[in-house]
Amino acid sequence: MDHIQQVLERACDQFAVPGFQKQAEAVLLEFRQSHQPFAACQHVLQHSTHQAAQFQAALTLREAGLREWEGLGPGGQQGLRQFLLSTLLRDSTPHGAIVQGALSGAFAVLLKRGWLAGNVAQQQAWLGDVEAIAASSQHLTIRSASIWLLEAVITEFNPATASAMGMPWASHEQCRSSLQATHLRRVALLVMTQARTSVVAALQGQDGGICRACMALLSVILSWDFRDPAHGLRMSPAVRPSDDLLQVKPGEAWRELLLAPDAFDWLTHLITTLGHPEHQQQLSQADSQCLASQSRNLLVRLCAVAGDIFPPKDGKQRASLGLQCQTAKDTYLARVLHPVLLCALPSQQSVQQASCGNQDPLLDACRAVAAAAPVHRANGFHRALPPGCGPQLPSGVLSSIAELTQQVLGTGGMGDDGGWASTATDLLLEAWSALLLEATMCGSPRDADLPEGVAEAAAGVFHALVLAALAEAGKGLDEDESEGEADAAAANPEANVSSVEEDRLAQAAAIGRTALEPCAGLLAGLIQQRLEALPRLAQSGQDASQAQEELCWLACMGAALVADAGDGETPLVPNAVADCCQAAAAAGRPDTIQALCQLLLQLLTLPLNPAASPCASPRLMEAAVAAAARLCGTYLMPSSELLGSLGHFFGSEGSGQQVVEGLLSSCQALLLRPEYTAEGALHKLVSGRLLRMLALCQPTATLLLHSPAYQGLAGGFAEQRHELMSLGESVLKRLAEALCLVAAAIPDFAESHGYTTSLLQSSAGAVERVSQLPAAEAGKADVTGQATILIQIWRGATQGMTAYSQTAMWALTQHLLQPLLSLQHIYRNHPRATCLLLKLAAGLVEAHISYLGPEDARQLFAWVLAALQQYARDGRRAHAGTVHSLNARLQEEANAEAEAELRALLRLLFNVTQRDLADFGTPAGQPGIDVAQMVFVGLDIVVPLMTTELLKFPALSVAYFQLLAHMLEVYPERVLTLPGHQATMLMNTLRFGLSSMSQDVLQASLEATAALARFHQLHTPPSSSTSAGARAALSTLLWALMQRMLEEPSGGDLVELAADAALPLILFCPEAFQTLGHDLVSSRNDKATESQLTASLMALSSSSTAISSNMDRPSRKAFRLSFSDFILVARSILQMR
Amino acid sequence: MALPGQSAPDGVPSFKLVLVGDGGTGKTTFVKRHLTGEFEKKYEPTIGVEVHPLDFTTNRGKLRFYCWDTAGQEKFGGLRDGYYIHGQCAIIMFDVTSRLTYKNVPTWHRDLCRVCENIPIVLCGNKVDVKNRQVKPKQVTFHRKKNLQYNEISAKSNYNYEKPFLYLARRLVGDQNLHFVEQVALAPPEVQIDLQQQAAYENQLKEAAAAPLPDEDDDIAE
Repeated sequence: MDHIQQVLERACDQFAVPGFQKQAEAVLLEFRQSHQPFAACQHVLQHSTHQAAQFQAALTLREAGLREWEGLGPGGQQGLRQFLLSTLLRDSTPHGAIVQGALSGAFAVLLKRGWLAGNVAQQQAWLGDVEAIAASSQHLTIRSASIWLLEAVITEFNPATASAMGMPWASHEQCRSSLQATHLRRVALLVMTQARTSVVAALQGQDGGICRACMALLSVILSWDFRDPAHGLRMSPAVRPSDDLLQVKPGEAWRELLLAPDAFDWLTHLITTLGHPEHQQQLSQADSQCLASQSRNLLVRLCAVAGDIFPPKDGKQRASLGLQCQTAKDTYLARVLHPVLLCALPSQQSVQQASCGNQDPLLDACRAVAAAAPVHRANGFHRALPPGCGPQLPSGVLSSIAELTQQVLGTGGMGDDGGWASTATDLLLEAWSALLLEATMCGSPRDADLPEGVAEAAAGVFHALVLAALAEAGKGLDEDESEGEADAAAANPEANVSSVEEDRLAQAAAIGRTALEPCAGLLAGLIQQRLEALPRLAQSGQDASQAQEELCWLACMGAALVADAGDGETPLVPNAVADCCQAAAAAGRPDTIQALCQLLLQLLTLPLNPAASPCASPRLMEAAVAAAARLCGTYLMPSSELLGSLGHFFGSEGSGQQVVEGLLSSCQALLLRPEYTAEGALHKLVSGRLLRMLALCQPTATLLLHSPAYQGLAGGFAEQRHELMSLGESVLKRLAEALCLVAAAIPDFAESHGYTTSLLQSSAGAVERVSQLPAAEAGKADVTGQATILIQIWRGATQGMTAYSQTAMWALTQHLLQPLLSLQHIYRNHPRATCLLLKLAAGLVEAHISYLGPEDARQLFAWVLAALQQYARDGRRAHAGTVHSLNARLQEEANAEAEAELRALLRLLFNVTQRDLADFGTPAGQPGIDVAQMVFVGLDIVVPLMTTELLKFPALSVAYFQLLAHMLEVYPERVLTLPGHQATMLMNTLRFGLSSMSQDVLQASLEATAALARFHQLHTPPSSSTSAGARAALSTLLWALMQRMLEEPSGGDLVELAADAALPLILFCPEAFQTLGHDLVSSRNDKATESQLTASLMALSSSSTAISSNMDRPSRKAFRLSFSDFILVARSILQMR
Repeated sequence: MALPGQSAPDGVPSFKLVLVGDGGTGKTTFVKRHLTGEFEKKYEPTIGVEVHPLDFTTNRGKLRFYCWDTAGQEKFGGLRDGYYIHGQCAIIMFDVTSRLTYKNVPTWHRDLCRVCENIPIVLCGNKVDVKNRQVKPKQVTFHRKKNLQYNEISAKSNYNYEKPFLYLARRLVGDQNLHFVEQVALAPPEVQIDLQQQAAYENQLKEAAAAPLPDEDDDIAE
C-alpha cells in the first residue's frame, strides 16, 4: 500500500510539469480505472499528507464506487459510505478544502446511488447522522465539514446539478422529490439556526468556517428546483423560461420558515458589521472578503424569492379594510433590501470603490435589485422602504436606486467594454424596466398609480443616461471604424444602431415615459442646440462629427421615447404621450412632445438647408429617416383624434399636409442628390420605410397624389429616368412597391387603373424588349443587370398590389407572362436571375390567385406549369452534377445558391396549393385546374435535389416539409404514384425531418407522416402488391418517430401530433411495432424497469388495437392519452444520466 | 503566479485556465484558433486533456494562460475533474445550437467550483454564427444565477473571440482597465457572422416579441 501511495504522490507532483504531464496522467488514469481500488484509496486518504494524492484518491473512490456499486453488495456499500463519513468528520487533522470537496462529492454521489434501494428509515439513518453532527458537534471544524457535506448532497440531489451516474431520469426525479419531501426544509431550518448562532464568532474569525458553510448551503437550497410532488414526473430539466430559472418559488410550505421576522436578521447583522472598517481588523482581508461575498450571494437568492410563499390575499384584505400598511411580501422585501442597500449606499462611495477595483459589492447589490424588481415592482419597493424609513433613505428606496443608477451611468456605464460599469448599467436598467412595468405595459403612468417621487427618480435616471450616451457617442470618433465591432453597428443599415444600443434605447424609453414631459424637454433642448450649431460648424469648416454622432443617438432616442416601433402592427399613441399632450393642452402650456417631434422632423430637412447641408451626413440621415418613419407611423394624419397641439401639428386640419410635403422633398433630395449616390442603405430606408409608410396610410397617400414632389418622383419612375433607374435593384423594388400602394388611395376606379398602368407600362415594355434580344446580346453584363432591375421592379409592384389595383395589375401581367418565360430561358445559366424569376412567379401567384376567375386562373397556371417544365429542362438539375467537383468553399457557395433557388421554387409550389383554398369551382364543360399536377412537376424537380446537406438550411427545410405535409394531406394517392427512386428520396427526407431539432420541421414531418400512414391504413389492402413495400417504408418511419420522441424532450402539442402519426403506423405495421417493443425491453438489464416498460408497451398496444379501423375522433383522442403516458414512462426509463 | 513546474518566460505571469463543457461544443477549435489561427472544421474528440500555452500582450505587459483543454465526451473523459486541481480561472463552453449542452452547464460549474474555489469563470455560448440556433439569448440565464460573465462567441467567425480572455485577465490581474494592446493574431474569419441575425438574437434578451424575419430579399447578395 505504501508503494502505491508513493507512486501516486510522485505522479501528482509530475502532473503539473509539462514534460512529464502525459506520463503522470497515464499513471493516475491507470489507478483511476483499476479494479477495486478501495483499499488503496482509503490508505492514501488515511496516511498520505500529499493533498493532490488525497484528491486523486477521493475521485478514484467516487468513480470506482459508482462503477462497481452493484458488486459491492449492501455491506460494501454501507462500508464505503461509512468510511467517507468518518474520514470527513473525524476530529484529527482536517483535510484541505479541495480534498474535503472531493470527499463530500463522493459521499453525495454514492448516497444518491443507493438512495432508492433504501426505505425511509434507512434514508433517515444515512443522512440523519450528518444532520445530527451539523446540529450539535462540539468541534467547529467537524460541524463546518458536515454542513459542507449537506451542501454537496443537496447539490447532487437537485437534477439540474446531478452527476451522471447511469441512472434513468426517473430515478433522479424520485431522489429529488424524496429529498424535498423529507429533508430539505429540515436542513434549511437547521442551517439557519446554525448561521444565527455562529455569526458573532464568524466576525471574529472563530467559527471554524460554519457561517460561510451555512450561507453556501442556504444558497444551494434557494437554487433548488422547487416543485410540488403532486405535479408528478418530469422527464428532464428542460430549458426553462428565464423568469422561472431566476426566481425562487419555494411555495407555501416555506412561508413560516423564510418569512419569519427574525429569519435573516443575522445576515443583516453580518453584512452591516463587515461594512464597518474597524471590524475588518478582526478578520484577515481574505476571510472577510470571502464571508462578505458569500453573504451577498445569499442575499441575491433571497431577493429572487417569489410565488406562493407570499400570502395571496394579504394585500387585498388589508386594502379592503382601508389599511395601507405593509403586507408580508413588503415586509420581507424591506428585510432583504436593507442589507442590499448597505452594500450600495451611499452610492458615491460604492461607485468610487468599484472604480478602485472593489466592484463586487456594487455589482451584487445591482443583481439583488434586478432580482427583486420583477417580483415586487415600484409599488412594492415604495411600500417596503418609503421615504424617511431610515437615516440612509431620507427620500425612499426608489430615489436611492435612482441616485445609484445616475452615479453608475456617470462612470462610463453606457460603454460596451464589458467593464463593471456597463454590467452594472445593464442590471440597473433592467431593474428599472421591471420596476416601471406597470406604468409602461398596464396603461398610463396615471393609471398605474405609481408611488410618489418615482417620476422624479425616473427623470433623474433618464437625464443621466442621456448625458452618458452623448459622452459615449463622442468617444467612438477616436476609434478606427474599419475594425472590430464598429462594423457590427455599421452593418445594420436599417437601424443605424447596434442591437445593444437598441436594447438600451427601449429600456431608456420605458424609463423616460414615466416622466415624459421633462424627458422629452431635455431631448428637445439638446437637439435644438446641436441643430443650431451645425450651420456654424459648416460655415467655419470645423469638424462637425461630434455633433453629428450625438444627433444620431438623439434622433433614435427621441423617436423611441415618443413612438412605439410597431413591428408590423399599427402603432398606437403611447398612453404616456396622450396624457402628456392632454395635460399640456389643459394647462395651456407649450406641448413639449410636439416640440420634440418637430425638431426630429427638422433633422430630415438638413440637406435642404444650404447652410447645414454639408453636415447632413448619410449616417445622420439614416437615423433621421428611421426616426421620422417611426414618428409619422404613429402620429401623421391620425385616424383617431389626437389632442392638443401635437394633433394640430400632424393632423389634416393643421399642418399635416406641410409635414408630408416636407418629408417628400427630403426623400427626393436623399434619393437623387449626388452627395448621396451609392448610399444604398439610406435609399432603402427612404423608399422601403418612409415612403412605404406614407403610401400605406390612406390620408397621407391622398396627400401624396397632390404633391408636386411626389408627381415628379412617380413620373420619373414611369418614364424610367436614368437618375432613378441607377438607384439599385433593391431600392427600385421598394420604390415600386410604395408607388403602387398609392393607387389604393385614388377614389375613382378608372383613374386608379390609369395610374397603375402609366406607372408600370414602360417597364413592362422593357421586359418584352429584353426578352426578344438574341441570346448573345441579352447575356451582356449591362443587359443582364437591366433585366434583374426589371424583375425586381415587378416583384416590388406585385407586392404593392392591393385588391383595388388588382385588375390593372393583372391586365399588365398578362402581357408579361410570355416574355418572362423567354427571360427564364435566356438566363437559365444565371443563378441570380433564375432565382429572382422564380420569386417573381411565386409573388404573382400569391398576389393574384384569390382574385382570378377560372379563365384567368387557367392562364396563370398554364404559365406556371410551363415555367416549371422549362426549369426542369434547363434549371438547377441541369447543372447539379457539376457541384461535386468543386472545392469546399465553392461547394458551400453552390449549396447556398441551390438553397435560394429551391426555396423560391417551394414558395411558388406552396402558393399554387393555395388555389385549393380559393377555388371558385369550374363551370361545366371547361377543363379544371389541376393543382396537384403542377405541384408534382415541381416536386419532381425538388425531391431529387433535396440532399441532407441542403436540408441543413432551416428555412428551406421548413418550406419543404410544409409543402410535403400539405400534399400528403390533400393528395396522398398522387404522392404514391411517384416513381420508385423519388418515393425512396421522399421517405429519406421524411426520416430526416422526424429527427430534426427544429420544431417547425418536426411538426410538418409528423403531419406528413400521419397523412401518409392514415392513407395506407385506410386504403391499402393488406394483400395488395404495394402493401409489403409500403409496410417496409412505414416501419422505418415508425422507428424514426419513436426514436425522436424517446430521445428528445418535446412539448405536449408535438406528442399529440406524434400520437396522430403513430396510431396509423402501429395499425398498419403491427409487426414492426412488436419488434420495436421487444428491442426496447431487451435493452434493459434490470427486471424492474423491464417489467415497467413491458406494462407500458402493453397498455399502448391494447389501446391501439381497441381503436376502430376508421380512426374516428374519439378513438384518436383516447390513443393520444395512452401515447403520452407511454412516452412519459418510457422516456423516464430510457434517458440515462 | 506560475505554478511549480509551469515554465513561462521570465517575469511573465501565467495562469492555469480550465476549459470545460460538453463534447463537440468547440473547445478545441477555440484553442486552436488562437494557436494556429486556423479554423478546424473536423471534429476529433479530445481524449483526456490537451494543455496549450496561450500568450497575450496587455497594457501591463505579457501574460500567459496555460489552457487545459479537457475532453467533453464522457467516454474520453480521462481524469475529468482530476484535471481541475489548482485551476485559477475557467471557461465553460456550450453550443447554442444544442440545448443539451446548455442543460449540462450547471453540472460543469458545480464540478469546477468544488475543486477551484472562487475562481473567475466565463460562460461561453459558441457557434452563434450558425443560423439554426436552439438556445436563444433569453434562455441563457445561468450566469445571472451564479454571477458569471457570459459571452456569445463564434470560433468560426472570430466573433467576441478575445472577450473571455480579457475578462479573466482583468479579474486575475485585478485591474479593470487592463486591455490587450496587440490584436490577437487571427486568421480571417471563415464566415461573415450574420450580424443582423446576431442583433436580432441579442435583442431577444429583453424583448418578448419574436425577432422580425429578415428581409427575404436581402438573403442573397444584391
